[in-house]
Amino acid sequence: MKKRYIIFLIILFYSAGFLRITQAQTEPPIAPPQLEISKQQYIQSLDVYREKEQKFLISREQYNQLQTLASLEEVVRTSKDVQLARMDTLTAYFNTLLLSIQNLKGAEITKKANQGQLLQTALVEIERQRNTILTSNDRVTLDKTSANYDDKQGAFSSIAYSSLALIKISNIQSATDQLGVLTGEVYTSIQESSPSATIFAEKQRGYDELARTIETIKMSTKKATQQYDNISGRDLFTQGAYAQIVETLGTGYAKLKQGESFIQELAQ
Amino acid sequence: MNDSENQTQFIEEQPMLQQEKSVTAIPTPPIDSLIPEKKQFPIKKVFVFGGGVCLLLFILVLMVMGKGKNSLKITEPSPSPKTTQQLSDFQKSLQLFHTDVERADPTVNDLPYPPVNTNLYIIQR
Repeated sequence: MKKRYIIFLIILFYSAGFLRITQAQTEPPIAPPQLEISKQQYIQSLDVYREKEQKFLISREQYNQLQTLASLEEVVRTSKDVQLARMDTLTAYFNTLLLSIQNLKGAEITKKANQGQLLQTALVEIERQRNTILTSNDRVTLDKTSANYDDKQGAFSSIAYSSLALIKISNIQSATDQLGVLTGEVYTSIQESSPSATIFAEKQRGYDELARTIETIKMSTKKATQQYDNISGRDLFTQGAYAQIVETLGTGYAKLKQGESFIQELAQ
Repeated sequence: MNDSENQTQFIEEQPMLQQEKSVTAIPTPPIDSLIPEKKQFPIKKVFVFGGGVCLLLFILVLMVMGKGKNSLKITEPSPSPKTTQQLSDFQKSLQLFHTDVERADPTVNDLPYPPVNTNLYIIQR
C-alpha cells in the first residue's frame, strides 16, 4: 500500500515539475543583439582564415622544396582557399563595423552616413575581389589576385581605422550627453527636496564642478573630432592617426570617469 | 581450574536457591486456528481512495502554481509609489550610464583591423 502511495506521489510531483518546465520553455527566448552575432561571425571567420593560412604556408614551403606539379597543384588549391578566407574575414569585419556605425548614438548624422558609405564601398570591393579569386585556378592569376588585395589593403585599413575613430569619439559624446542629462535630473531633485542652506551650497559646488568636468570632456571630444575631420577624406587614416585620436580622447575619458563618480556622490 | 575439574558434578545436584518450577502441559491449539482468516483485499476501495487523494493533491499543486503566478500581478501599493519609481528610474539611468562609460574607454579596441597576411603569393616577392 505504502509503496503505491509513494509511487503516486512521485508521479504527481514529477508531473507538477514537468508543467513548470513546459511553462518555462514556452517563454520566448531573448535574441542576442545583431552586433554580437556579427562579432561572433567575424571571430569564427578569422579562425578559419588562420587555419587556411597555416595550410597554405606549409604547401608553399613544400612546393619550394619539391618543385613538382603535384605540389604546385596543392599550393594553388591552398592559395585559393586562403585568399577566399581572407575576403570572408574582411567581409565579416566590415559588416561588424557597419553595424557598429549604424548603432552609434552620439555621432553626427552626416558623419555616420559618410562613414557608412565608405564601409559599403569597401564591402563592394571585397566582394568584387572575392569573385575574381573564385574564377582563378592557376598560380599566375592567384598571385595577381593576391597583389590586387595588397594594393587595396591600405584603403581598407584606412576605412577601418576612421570607422573605429568615429566610434570612439561618438561613444564619449554619447556618454557625455548622458552625464549632462543625469546632472540636470540630480540638480532638479536637489532643488525639489529643499535641503538646508549648508547642504544646498555643498551640492551647488558639486554641481558646478560637474559642469566644469563636462566642459573639459566636450573640449577633448571637439579636439578629437577636429583631428578626425582633418584626416578623413584627405589622407589615408593610418593606425598612427587613430592612436593620436585615442590619446586626445584619453583626457576626456579620464574626466568622464571622474564625472561618473561626481554624479554618484551628488545623487546620495 | 578448580571449577572446571569436574563439570558433570552439578548436573545431579539441585540448585539451592532456585525453586522448583512446576511444569504444566499447555494445551496446543490446532494449527488451523493459529492462521488468521484471510480477508479479501479491497482493491477497488484503495484505487478509488488513492485516486481521489492524488487528484486532490494535483488540484492543490495547480492552485499553488496559479496563486504564485497571480501574486506577481497583484502588488500592494507602496506608501510612496512615485518616489520609488523615480529612484529606480534614476538608478537604472545610472547603470546605463556606467555601461556606456565602460564602453567609451578609448584605449579598449575590441575590433582591431584583422591580422591577415599581406604576403600570400605562391612565388614570394
